[in-house]
Amino acid sequence: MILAAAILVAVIVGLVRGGNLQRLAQLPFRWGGVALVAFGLQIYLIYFPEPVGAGLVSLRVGLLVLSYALLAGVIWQNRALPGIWLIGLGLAANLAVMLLNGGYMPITPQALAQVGHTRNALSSEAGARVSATKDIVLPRDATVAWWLSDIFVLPPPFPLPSVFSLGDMLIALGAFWFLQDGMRVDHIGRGSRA
Amino acid sequence: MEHWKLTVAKLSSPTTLRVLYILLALLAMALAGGAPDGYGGQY
Repeated sequence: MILAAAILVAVIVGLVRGGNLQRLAQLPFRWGGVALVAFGLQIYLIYFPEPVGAGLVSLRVGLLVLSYALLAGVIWQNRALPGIWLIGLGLAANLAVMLLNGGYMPITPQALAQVGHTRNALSSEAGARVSATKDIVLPRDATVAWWLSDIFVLPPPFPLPSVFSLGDMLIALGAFWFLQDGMRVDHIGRGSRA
Repeated sequence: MEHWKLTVAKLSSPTTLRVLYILLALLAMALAGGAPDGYGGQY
């Protein structure tokens, strides 16, 4: 939700700064359909999960890696566009920390409690999944590459209380950059700004 | 009626469809690649 909100804010900021969406249409963006397929795979993964502990050689992790491979293809096809490499870096960071922790994004019980989502953990034990997310609850000392996991907390009264990772931040920054440049630069007569 | 026809024609213009395609693809990339916990459900 927080990433969708970040994209919406980026569009609004772009419009306020004098950009327009017609310019965005000039960008030679490719493989958008592949991104939608990757998204579809992830929807399947979070709503039809395998039990935690199925290991790295499982259908779930296979589909997770496949979806990220598809996203990597989209990144490669659009690597010359503004901000796309930053999105790619964020994807790589998130995938790395998930693979290092059994195919799930670790989140500490404290972070979950700070945003009031404790009830969404499927049990109170360490390693419990958080419903309808890619997350599992793990204490900090049990998390590999903790600094890449969901550690940044936006608690209430922020309207969208969330916990997110460094990778999520890079994705949001990349999307912001992509939209600002895409909406403000004339990509046909490249270089002239709004 | 004419007003609706004009609105539909505008919304189905190649430019509008292209903008929607790019925004949807960017959103799909961000949501599929990101892993925030928000409201107990990423999407």
